[in-house]
Amino acid sequence: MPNILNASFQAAEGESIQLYLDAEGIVVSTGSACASGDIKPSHVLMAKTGDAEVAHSSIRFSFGLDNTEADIERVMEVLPGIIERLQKISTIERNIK
Amino acid sequence: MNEGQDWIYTDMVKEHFMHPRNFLFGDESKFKCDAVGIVGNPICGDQMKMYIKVKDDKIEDIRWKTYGCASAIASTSALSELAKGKTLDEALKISAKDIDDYLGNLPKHKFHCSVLGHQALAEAIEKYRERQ
Repeated sequence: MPNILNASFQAAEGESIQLYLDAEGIVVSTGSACASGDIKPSHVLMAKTGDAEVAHSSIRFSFGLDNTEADIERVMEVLPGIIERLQKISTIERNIK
Repeated sequence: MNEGQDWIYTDMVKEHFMHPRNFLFGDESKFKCDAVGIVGNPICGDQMKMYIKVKDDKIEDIRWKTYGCASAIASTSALSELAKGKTLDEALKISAKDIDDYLGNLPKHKFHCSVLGHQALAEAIEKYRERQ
């Protein structure tokens, strides 16, 4: 699906990213709608990456006709801070600076 | 996931997720502690680390780090509040149910994977006692 983008972030868990974004009025998911409510890592991401930690550290953006460039800019305003905050309280050491 | 739904968590969980207490931000060497305990595994989606500072057999100060979902972060934050100032024996008695009660109950499917912090705390206390 060309309108769907998966993004994985080292050391930051997907649902936490999702809910901090939700608090900013930005709605994303942590997996497909048909797997909604399932806490297991996405089988698609598992098949693609083979890494459960990466699969757990993922969010999924679904874009529609109503989305604008301003929406994307808004995401980019708040997302880096959310990721950094989660990484700094995470038990997982980041390998990249 | 909560697409098209309201928050699945209580206000207390939301409060501890949005404004966690006693977390250790960034470099862990910044907090001079007496012992550390760890539980969980990122592969399973949740991992918690508890850092304790002990004085006169009491938890004088406590910090934590968590990789995990909102309920994992909130429950570790809640545990840190419950444990602070307690004697080591009292802190060892804090159970998953105590954390769940404090937070006003987590969703059932989240309980077992996210309320693990007390095991990390017990490990930290055990390590502290071994060294005494």
